[in-house]
Amino acid sequence: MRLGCLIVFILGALSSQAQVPGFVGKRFSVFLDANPSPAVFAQSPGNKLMVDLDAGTNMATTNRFAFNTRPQVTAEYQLFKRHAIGVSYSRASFGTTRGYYTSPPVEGQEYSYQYDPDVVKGDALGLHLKFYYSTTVAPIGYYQTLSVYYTRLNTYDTKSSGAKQFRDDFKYPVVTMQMGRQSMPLKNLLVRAGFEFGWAFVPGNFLTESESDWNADDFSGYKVHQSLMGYYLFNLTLGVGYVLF
Amino acid sequence: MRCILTVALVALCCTPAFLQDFNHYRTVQSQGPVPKDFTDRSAAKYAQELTNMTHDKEETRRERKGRKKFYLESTFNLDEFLGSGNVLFNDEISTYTNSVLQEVLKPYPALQSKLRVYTVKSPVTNAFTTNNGIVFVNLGLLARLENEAQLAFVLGHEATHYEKKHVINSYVNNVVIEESRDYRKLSSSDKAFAKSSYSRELETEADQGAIDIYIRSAYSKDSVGSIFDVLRNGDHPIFWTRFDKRTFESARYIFPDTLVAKSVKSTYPQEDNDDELSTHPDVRKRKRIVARKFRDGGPGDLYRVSKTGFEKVRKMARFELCRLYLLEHLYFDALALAISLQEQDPTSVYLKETVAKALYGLAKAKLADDEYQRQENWASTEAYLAEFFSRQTAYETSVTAMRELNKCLEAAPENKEIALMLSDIIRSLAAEQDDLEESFLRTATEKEIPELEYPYTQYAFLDFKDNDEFFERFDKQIAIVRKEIAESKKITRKKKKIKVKEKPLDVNKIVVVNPIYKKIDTRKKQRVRHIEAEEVMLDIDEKIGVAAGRLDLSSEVINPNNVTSGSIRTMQANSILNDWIDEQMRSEKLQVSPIYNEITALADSYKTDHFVWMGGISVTRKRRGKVWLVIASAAAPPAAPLLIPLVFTPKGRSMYFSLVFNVRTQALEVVDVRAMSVRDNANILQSNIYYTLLKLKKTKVKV
Repeated sequence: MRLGCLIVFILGALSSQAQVPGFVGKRFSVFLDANPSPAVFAQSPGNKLMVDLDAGTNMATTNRFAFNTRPQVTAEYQLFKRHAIGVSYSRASFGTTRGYYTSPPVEGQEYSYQYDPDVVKGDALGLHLKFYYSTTVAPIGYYQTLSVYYTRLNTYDTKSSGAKQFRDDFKYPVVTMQMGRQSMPLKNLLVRAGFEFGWAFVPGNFLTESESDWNADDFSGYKVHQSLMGYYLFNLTLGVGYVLF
Repeated sequence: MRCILTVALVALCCTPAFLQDFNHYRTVQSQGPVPKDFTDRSAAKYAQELTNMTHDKEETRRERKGRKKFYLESTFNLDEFLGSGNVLFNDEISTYTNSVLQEVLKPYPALQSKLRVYTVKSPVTNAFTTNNGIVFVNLGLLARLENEAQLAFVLGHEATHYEKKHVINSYVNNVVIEESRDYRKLSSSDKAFAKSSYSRELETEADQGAIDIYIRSAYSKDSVGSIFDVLRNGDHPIFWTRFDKRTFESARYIFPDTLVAKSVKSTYPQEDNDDELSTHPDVRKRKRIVARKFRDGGPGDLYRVSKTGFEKVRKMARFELCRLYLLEHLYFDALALAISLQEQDPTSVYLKETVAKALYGLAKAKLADDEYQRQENWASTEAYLAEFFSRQTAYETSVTAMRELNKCLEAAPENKEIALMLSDIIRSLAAEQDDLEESFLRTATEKEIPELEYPYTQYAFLDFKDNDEFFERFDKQIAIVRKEIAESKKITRKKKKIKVKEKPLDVNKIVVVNPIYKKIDTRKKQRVRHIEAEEVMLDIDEKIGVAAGRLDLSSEVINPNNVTSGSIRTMQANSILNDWIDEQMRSEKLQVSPIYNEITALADSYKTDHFVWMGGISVTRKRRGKVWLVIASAAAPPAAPLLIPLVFTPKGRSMYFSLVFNVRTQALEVVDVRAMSVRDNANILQSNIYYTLLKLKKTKVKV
């Protein structure tokens, strides 16, 4: 699928004649973005910040300046003078908290579970439309992007672990809006900076229900939802790009 | 015998190339190899000036700083002026003025070798010199001089300015005054006085120097004082004949006597001789000093180089002035001068066309209610001419203009410029007057038209060689206007959007004219960054070429910043295009350019009608509110990576513009103005050029 899209764009770009928008007629560019997302919204894979946990026990490890990153590769095609379309692939990685029982719960008895920091890993495939402001000379200048991502995630015990903890992946769509500025310090080399707001379409139980009604599995799953939403809620955009042809 | 015949034949063939034909006068242009003053890079000249800068122990730090600033500003500003297209070199006029300079400076060989003269296409009565030895003489001054001796005195005056380094001293003095502690406390008139008094001192010194140079020359000492009369009357129109309305009349087309003034102001009001705030001493004082010096006269000639040469050059200057007045929309001045010149050259087609063009311009201005086209300040004989046309209504002047234009067209039917002007004025008048087609007699036997507001105008078009041809054009143009009016009424009545047929511009080649680029950094003391801007300008030809190439456009760049000694065609084209665009910018409404034929000939030689004027300005300034950025970063740490870099980088803003004209239709095809909140760099400039040309390529025009 990804390869197919790329081929379509490459062929499209090659078949088009000059007299087109883009940087001196070059309309196909690739980007590498870091997308740092503040850990105040979604704890980082190093679990520097533990959300919703007992402040007394975890304060020492809290770092308000920590960031999660979302490395992303984007291929973009300048459709018109001020409009571009693109596809992206990103790797997601952020922290979550898993609930587990030290001993199996007995029905009818009050039970409690322990917490363990885990890592959510996965990837996302996105499609976006980019609008450059009227005073720009695309791809240089201010822009706004509307994106749709399809995310596929699971939790792991550590960053390096490959063993999925949930049988089924978490698969949710995400929409984002990015605003930023692209500049070209060197010929064909683009640098961009901006910010992005997003909304992950995850079940809203964690927003509406009380945590005390959840069992360990509910807790673990809803924490993933909560972290995923925080992960996409706000992030900065820092990236470099290259105008290929 | 055969040899003599061959030589005679060659001489005969070559004659038109060298001699100016005043009957069909062609505008004077720069010739030959482009001088080094025009080809050398400004930055290199500036570096050279700094290297040559001597260290004077008595010089204060401020003075030294002022000198450095002067070299920077003067070098770049001078080069901008040289590239403006207003300066002529190696032409007949400049060659002659150079000869006079050499003659008057014969006893001063050192000065002789350092000075050179260029002619400036300006109607202002002035001459000026630069610190590096260039003397500029305006056509306005040459046109008013009475003899070669006067020119010699002026050149002597300018040579003294150069020798005594007045230009730089005056600049440094102003810098020192401005930077002195007490300067800010002074009132504006005291500030002006402080600067002008020094300037007057220098002018007096230059007059003294000119007297010394002149005394040692072989020029006549008797009439040199009259140069100051020339300067004093510099603002008055050049008119030496008496206006006679019969010039514009025919057997039946006779103006009513009410248009002719019975009396006018006989003299111009005496100017106040208080020169306290002037840069030059009062002319009368200067004249008295010179007259005292040459009281006893002395041996010498009025003409040393050539009397015929002087007369020819002055005549050329006057003919050029006609063109300049038209370009500057000084129609009364053009009329006055052309009518005077017709006394000597009554058959000159050029002068007849100047009169017709001036009347066309005047009529158009009157039809547009242009308040500036009134000439109420003239006195003496020229006031009769001014009064005659001022008393006429827009309709009357338009009819006279149509008559004169048609006369020119009859003499030269292939003259496109005149034909367009005639058609345009007919259309303009038809748009104002509903019954225009019924306002004129078409045959001598026709019955008179009753109840006309201006009865005499009905006979305007009876005395042409071919009335039918005129009325054919007349009816055709009126029909166009009537159709346009009917269509616009239809659109208004229906209030519907009517689909306008459009077609692409179909541009294959463009010529970019004199691109400009300015860099300003408000954080620096020297805010205008000349050297950085020049570096950008040197690459701009290549950038235009790259952008045009990507768009399958052929391109040429007329860039006076990038010329070599062989770029004479570029310099000539730049001069005409500069005149043309200058005139276009003066016109509020579309009207036929007085140099339409020149510009279309140029378009033919470049094989395109599309000429682009483009430029850019980049401003870098200190970022304000840095404290707020730091506070915001602290309050919202996630945003810190975006906000903190802003604290350390200045704010940049760039503006790019380009105007694409079709010089044949005089239509402004593309206007592209883009302001960007980014700091400029080579890639942004490249991209902007590309987008301008892309816009041109994609633009559609009404069919």
